[in-house]
Parts: sequence; C-alpha cells; structure tokens
Amino acid sequence: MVSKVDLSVKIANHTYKNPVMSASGTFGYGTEFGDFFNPAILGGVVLKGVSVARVEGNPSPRIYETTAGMINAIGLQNVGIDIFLKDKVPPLKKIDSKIIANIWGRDIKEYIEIAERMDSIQELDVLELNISCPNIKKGGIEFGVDPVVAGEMTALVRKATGKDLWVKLSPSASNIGVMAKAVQDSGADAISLINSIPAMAIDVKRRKPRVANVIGGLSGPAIKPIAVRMVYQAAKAVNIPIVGIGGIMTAMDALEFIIAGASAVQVGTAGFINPHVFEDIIEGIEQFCLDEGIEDIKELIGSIRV
Amino acid sequence: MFATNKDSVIIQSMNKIESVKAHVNENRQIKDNYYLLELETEAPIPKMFPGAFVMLSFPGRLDPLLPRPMGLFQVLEESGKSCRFNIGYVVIGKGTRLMSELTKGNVLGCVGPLGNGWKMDLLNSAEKVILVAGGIGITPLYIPAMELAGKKDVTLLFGGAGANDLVFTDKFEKLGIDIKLYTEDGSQGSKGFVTKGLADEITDNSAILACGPEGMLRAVSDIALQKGIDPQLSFDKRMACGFGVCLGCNIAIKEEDGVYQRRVCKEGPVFFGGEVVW
Ligand SMILES: Cc1cc2nc3c(=O)[nH]c(=O)nc-3n(C[C@H](O)[C@H](O)[C@H](O)COP(=O)(O)OP(=O)(O)OC[C@H]3O[C@@H](n4cnc5c(N)ncnc54)[C@H](O)[C@@H]3O)c2cc1C
Ligand SMILES: Cc1cc2nc3c(=O)[nH]c(=O)nc-3n(C[C@H](O)[C@H](O)[C@H](O)COP(=O)(O)O)c2cc1C
Ligand code: FES
Repeated sequence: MVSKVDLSVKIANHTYKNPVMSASGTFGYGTEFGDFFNPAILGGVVLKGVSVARVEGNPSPRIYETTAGMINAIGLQNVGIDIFLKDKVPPLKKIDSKIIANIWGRDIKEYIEIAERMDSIQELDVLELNISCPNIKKGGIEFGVDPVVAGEMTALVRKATGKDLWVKLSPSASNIGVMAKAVQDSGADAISLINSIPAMAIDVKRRKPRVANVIGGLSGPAIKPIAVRMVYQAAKAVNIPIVGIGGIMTAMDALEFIIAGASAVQVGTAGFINPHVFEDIIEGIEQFCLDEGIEDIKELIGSIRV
Repeated sequence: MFATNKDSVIIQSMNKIESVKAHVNENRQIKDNYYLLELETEAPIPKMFPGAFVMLSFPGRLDPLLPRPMGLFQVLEESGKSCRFNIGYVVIGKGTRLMSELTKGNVLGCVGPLGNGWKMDLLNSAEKVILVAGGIGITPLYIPAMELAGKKDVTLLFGGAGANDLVFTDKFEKLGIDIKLYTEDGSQGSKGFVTKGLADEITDNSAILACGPEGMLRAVSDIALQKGIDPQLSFDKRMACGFGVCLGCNIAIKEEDGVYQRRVCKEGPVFFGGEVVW
C-alpha cells in the first residue's frame, strides 16, 4: 500500500513540486486567480506572453466557442516589458512556486532583447519562448513552422540568458519531431507543446468570420488528441524534458500527456470554465497514483506501452 | 507607445469573487423564449451588487464548453452560507436552450459576483433617473429601480421587437415608477425604438442607466450626450472567463492619454457613453 506519492518532477535545473502548471495567456500575470486559490499550489506559474512594446491586441470579437473548444484571436495583447518588470514582477515574489515567463517578438532581435532584460530578474525562473508568432521579416509566416529559423532563434536567445530556456512549439510545424530536435540541438532545456491550433469559424448568414482577425487559435478539449500525439512524437525525438499542453480538463487528461512522455503539463482553457480545476487535477493525479500503487509520479513519465 | 501607470489597475480585483456550485430552485417560462431562473449557491459568495453578473457553466459537459454570462436580476437571500438569486434569460442558442431545460435540483457552476456594476453613488445628485432597457436588458435595471423608487423621480423606457419581448414589467409596476413601453411592431406600447422618447425625458439634472443591444446603447449615448448627460451603459460581449484573464471581451475606451482595449468583464460591463469608441 502506498500512502504518500512524490509528485515532484525535474525539468532541467529546477524541481517542480508537482507537474501541474498554468498555460500562458490564460492565467494573467500570475495573481489573477488569487480569489480562487493560492497559485503557489501549482508546480509552475506560466505568465501571459510579454513583448518589447506594449500591444493593444486585436479588435472585437476576439473569441468564439466551437464544439468542445474555443477560437481566440487576442493578438498577444500585453503591457510590454517595461510595465511588466515594474508592475507585474514584484507581486510574484509572494508566490512560492516556480515562475515561467513567456516571451515573444516580431523579429529575433526583440526576442533577444526581452531575454536579456529578464535574465537578471530573480523572480523569474524560466523563460518560455513562444515561437508561434508571425515573423515580420519572413512575410508573417510563423517562426514555429521552420526548424531552421526556430533553431537559429533558440541559439541566439540561449546566448542571451542563463535561465532555463523552454521553447513552446507550434502545432503548425510540418514535422514535430524534426522541430523538437532542432530546438534541442540549439540549446533548449525543455520543450513545451502545443500552442493553440490555427482555426476558423464562419457566421453563415452574414458570411463573416466569427473573430475579427479572421483566423484564431483553437484550444480546449477538442485539440487534446492532437496534442497528445504531438507530445508523444516530440518525446520520441528528443531527450530533453517535455511539457504537455492542449485541452486538459481532468487529471486523467493530464496523465495521458505524462504517459505519452511529458514531465509536466499546462492547463489553459479549462480554468475559464472552472477556476478550481487546477486543484482538482493535482488531487486527481495524486489519487490515481495512490490507487495504482505508484510512489513517484516520475515512474509514469513516458510509460506508454506500445 | 509605452503604457501609463494605469495598467497596474488593470489586474487588481476590485471585488472579491468565488467559484461555487449553484442549485436550481426553480426555472420558469415567463413567456415565449423568456425564463426566470432561481439559483441557490452551495457555499457563500461575496456580496452581490447592482449591475453584477455571474458566469454559469454546465459541469461535466464539453459542449457547450464555456460558461455563459448572466446578469443579476434580484437577490432573494444572502447569508453566511449561501446566496439565493434570480436570473432572467432569453433562449437564443445552445447554452440558453440547455438552461431552459434545467429543473429543480440540477446543478450549475457559478462564478461571481463579477464586473464593476452600476455606479450607484453617482445617482445621488440626480433629481431624475432614466432607465433604458432593450429586451432581456431589463433585468439588471431592477435593483437600481428598487433602490431608487420613492426616493427619486424614476422613469423606465422599455423596448423590444414585439409584446413578447416586454417581460417582467409587473415587477417594475409594483415599484410605482413611471413606465413607458415601446415595440418595433407596435404590438404593445408606442410603435418604434425605445430611444424614440428619450430626448424628451431628459432634464438638466438627469442620470441615465441603459442595458440592451449595442445599437440601442449607442443611440442612447448619442441622444444623452447631445443633452449634456453622460449615460452609464452595460455592455454585452462574448466572454470566455468573465474574470479578466482571457482578454477576449475587449472594448475600445478613450482615456486622457489615448485609446485602450479594456475588458468588459472587469473594467466593465458598465462604461460611460462618452468614453466608448464605437
Ligand atoms: C455581462 C453580461 C450579462 C448578461 N446577462 C444576460 C441576462 O441576464 N440574460 C440573458 O438572457 N442574457 C444575458 N447576457 C447574454 C448571454 O450571455 C448570451 O445570450 C448567451 O451567452 C448566449 O449563449 P447561447 O449558448 O444561448 O448562444 P450561442 O449559441 O452562443 O449563440 C447564439 C447566437 O447568438 C449570438 N450571440 C451569442 N452570444 C452573444 C452575445 N454575448 N452578444 C451578442 N450576440 C451573441 C451568436 O452570435 C449566435 O448567433 C449577458 C451577457 C453579458 C456579457
Ligand atoms: C485566450 C488565450 C490566450 C493565449 N495566449 C497565449 C500567449 O500569450 N502565449 C502563448 O504562448 N500561448 C498562449 N495561449 C495558448 C495556451 O497557452 C495553450 O497553449 C493553448 O490554449 C492550449 O491549451 P488549452 O487547451 O489547455 O487551453 C493562449 C490561449 C488562449 C485560450
Ligand atoms: S471574459 Fe475573459 S477577460 Fe473578459
């Protein structure tokens, strides 16, 4: 009989108290869920994506619900690095958990600038590179579709920071294994995936797109099987840790990702529906381990029997 | 390009919120597609306020996935153990259809109370308060009407497409306030939009609260501003979270130093007509 489960996981240079984290863009700047629960219960707190300049984002409507999912076209709205460092970082001191800053840019220079400016900030433990962004120099094609571009960017940001560097992969990569290998070889400490999937919905009567930006990103339970598949393929291609993301609503969903090869998971859309879902998932994973006689969650990572 | 210190205000929670289960006590069809839902929370939630809303979700269901924003109609009982309140709603799609099938004992997820609410203190100095409602936009005006009735000159202008869209008028009649009804098809009250008679109602010292479709809010705003009154407008936007984290419910708002995207669920749903960029 197992009476206690070790839920802690190690990713590169840090140990996380459990494998459940928030997902970027769905958890504000770390404190917004404070009315519901103490964010310190999370293994890691992943913050809203930050860019060099303040970004106001896309016009309305920005969101649309689809079957078991939602399309969002927020347009990466954020306060910019100056306000982020001044106003959003200080409250993070009070959160006794690992803090993961998510960063993005319009060109590689901007990614490097942010990484450099965050490098000395003690409150931030990890930088997560969002490469699902339009590359202005390449006519707006995502950085995240081309392994050569993604590798180049990873290598340059790697030089700019001594912090753990995670690269968050886009599901638009044509071969996720090749992409994962490219960022590993360029110095990434871990890989997180997937970002939301480019998607569209149309108001048939008005012949109009449902979100003002026309195309948005699909998230929520509808994308989970695709995300599990991509985590599985990425895990087979690399030996650095994987953080699984996409449609997780329950502990069982999270365990699928872990068994497919993820060391940890991030939960996004589910928190909009039930802000207490993070607690439920942590407790559910622990209960599963107790029931199955598993003493250490690490035994489950990549334990899929094919 | 860089933001001002105002951004530090953006994420601060103005009112405490909670996420609880809520039991259906009663779900009654009023007429046509309009329903009255009485909910009782399983645990206490922070104090409700005029103009607040809640996010209601369907536990265990993946479709519809997201919770639905619903405005507070009436607080029936608030205690240290639970909150009993009413929601009025109209069936327009998947989520509200599902709501119409709820029966006593069913359980919903409930996050609230949310939003900034009506700025009631700004009404103190007004001698007359004009409430303008379009369709189901009538419900969040009930608490202000109740609080102001007998203390001030209160007029309700209420419009809808047809007679079936004019619901809950009996509750307002009981308050003894002045009520004027409008329908687009002329089936009840005067024929035309609710904004038809607004200009004539406005006195030098009036305040206006309005809730309804965006087109109505804009017309209210135009008429009121022309008369020198900046109306409080409660907006309806698609929402995912309702508590300020998804940034999905944006509205463009003019501030001293520029135009900013603000969140209808957090900085709103109530904005002044004069600050909205239409
Ligand atoms: C703060 C706030 C308070 C609200 N209070 C109430 C209330 O007290 N009573 C009430 O009946 N409704 C209220 N609403 C509106 C209500 O949330 C929507 O009608 C509901 O979410 C629709 O869900 P559905 O699944 O039935 O419709 P869906 O299936 O999602 O949509 C059906 C159709 O309606 C359109 N639609 C859906 N949502 C909206 C929207 N928010 N604005 C404009 N068009 C929309 C869609 O484009 C579609 O054509 C409120 C909204 C907000 C933001
Ligand atoms: C409203 C919204 C905003 C998001 N913003 C960001 C962002 O700023 N940076 C980022 O890397 N991912 C962002 N994402 C993607 C999520 O972090 C996550 O990868 C995706 O939603 C899939 O997980 P989920 O199904 O659990 O939501 C956003 C997702 C949503 C729904
Ligand atoms: S609905 Fe999510 S921020 Fe307003």
